[in-house]
Amino acid sequence: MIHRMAYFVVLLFSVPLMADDGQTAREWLERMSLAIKHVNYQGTLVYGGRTHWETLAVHHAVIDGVEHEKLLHLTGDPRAIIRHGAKNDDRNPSPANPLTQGLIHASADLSAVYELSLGDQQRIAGRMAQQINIMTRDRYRYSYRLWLDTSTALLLASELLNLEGQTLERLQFADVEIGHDIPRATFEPDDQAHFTAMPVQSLQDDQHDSLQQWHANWLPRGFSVASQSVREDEQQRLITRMYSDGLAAFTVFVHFEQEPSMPSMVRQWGATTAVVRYQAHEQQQVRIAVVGEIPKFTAEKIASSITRP
Amino acid sequence: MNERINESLSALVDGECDELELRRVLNELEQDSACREKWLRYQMMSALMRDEAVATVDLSRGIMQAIDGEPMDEITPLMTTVHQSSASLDAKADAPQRGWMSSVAVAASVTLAVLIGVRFYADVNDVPVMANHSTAPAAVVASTSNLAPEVDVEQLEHGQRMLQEYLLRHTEHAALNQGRGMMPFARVATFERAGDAQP
Repeated sequence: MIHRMAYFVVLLFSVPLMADDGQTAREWLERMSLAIKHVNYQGTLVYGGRTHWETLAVHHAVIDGVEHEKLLHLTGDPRAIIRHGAKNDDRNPSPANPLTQGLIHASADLSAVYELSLGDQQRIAGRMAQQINIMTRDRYRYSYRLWLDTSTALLLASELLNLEGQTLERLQFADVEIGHDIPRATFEPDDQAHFTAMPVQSLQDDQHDSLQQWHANWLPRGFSVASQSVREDEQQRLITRMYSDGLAAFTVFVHFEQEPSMPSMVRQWGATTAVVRYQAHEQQQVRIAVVGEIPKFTAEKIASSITRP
Repeated sequence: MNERINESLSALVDGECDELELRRVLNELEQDSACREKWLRYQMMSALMRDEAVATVDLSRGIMQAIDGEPMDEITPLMTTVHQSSASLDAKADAPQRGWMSSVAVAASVTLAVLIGVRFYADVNDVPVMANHSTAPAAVVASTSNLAPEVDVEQLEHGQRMLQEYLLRHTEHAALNQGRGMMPFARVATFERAGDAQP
């Protein structure tokens, strides 16, 4: 009898807890998107899909209010990706500052398109981590499992799952140091090949016009434009527009090339899908490419819905 | 039909199967009629899931010939009734007027075809075509796909570079917008690895 009573008491308390689960998961995700910008960390990141693994060294630091990041490939050819951000100013997030865009999107209404819940706590890279489940509510996007450091909410591991629940991609820190000072020199390019990511530039008004001319007539629910740009020279014009639902992202490219020379194709590797199609426009072939971490049929459906009104 | 072949079949339809696996599946398809039916069903299902017109097109013969380096049977696309949007590499481009593609190009296009999972191959005589339920978008693609440029080695290489540029740009944007810092850049490495498979 006492056991049964105890059971009831547990039930009584666990019901409201369950109801708050999604809300708590959301709070974790908001903390995560802050931590990834504000916390200093460096470690070894293991990245892999179903067939092979890569290892990368990751450094991230905020020095004098400016974010610096470096990702160094430890497998394959030595190469690095370096990014220097603008000054962090999250009290006044503005879409003009691309570094604060992540925050805006993290607070988008994820729960409309994903079911959020808390999982168990596990040990990852020698630290305790809280598992967050983010399961898609439709068939147009993938699901995620994230593991966040319990003390800083830094992302320690993530899994991307396809519609059948198979893992397409895994990212996990093998070891990580959080909260240490990292010297500025760490973020200087070494001798090896490197790529410096540029901040996404804001648009001028006339560029905005040419962007509006091409748009997707169909988007999965919850996706909105996160950033866009136009690049133009004598040979080509490339319109780039990225859409995000807060977690998943894909980019639509509308590419005018004088001599189009790329087969139309559908390709998938790991979590990424690329669809390349052509459309006739004023005696020109316009290339429409959709690249992103979305299922193949979603990418194809978006690609074939892109028109010029 | 064993579980492994089942898995390989769905991997093939999803475009996630390597050459060895592909050969194994194709051999099995030749010998096992149950397996063959399943393969056709899978292709149909995958077309249906993409909301497209369905054609039960047998792709296996063309793929086998291509990976064996043989010239492929002439390909007759049913552009009016059939639309297979995964027919990425517009196979009509290897049609006779260009002569048979060089073995390098065949290898390259098959690598792509393996990655994509499907190569457009249709034999009008023994292809049962289901009613066309597709709506406007599929029709649009069917009509525009005629415009796709023909495929040769140079184009494939250019295509590979282009795809890499798109991926890098997508990743640059994604790294700023997904609240996961630079982690999306890790994906670029996988792509390069996948790209190595192509000449």
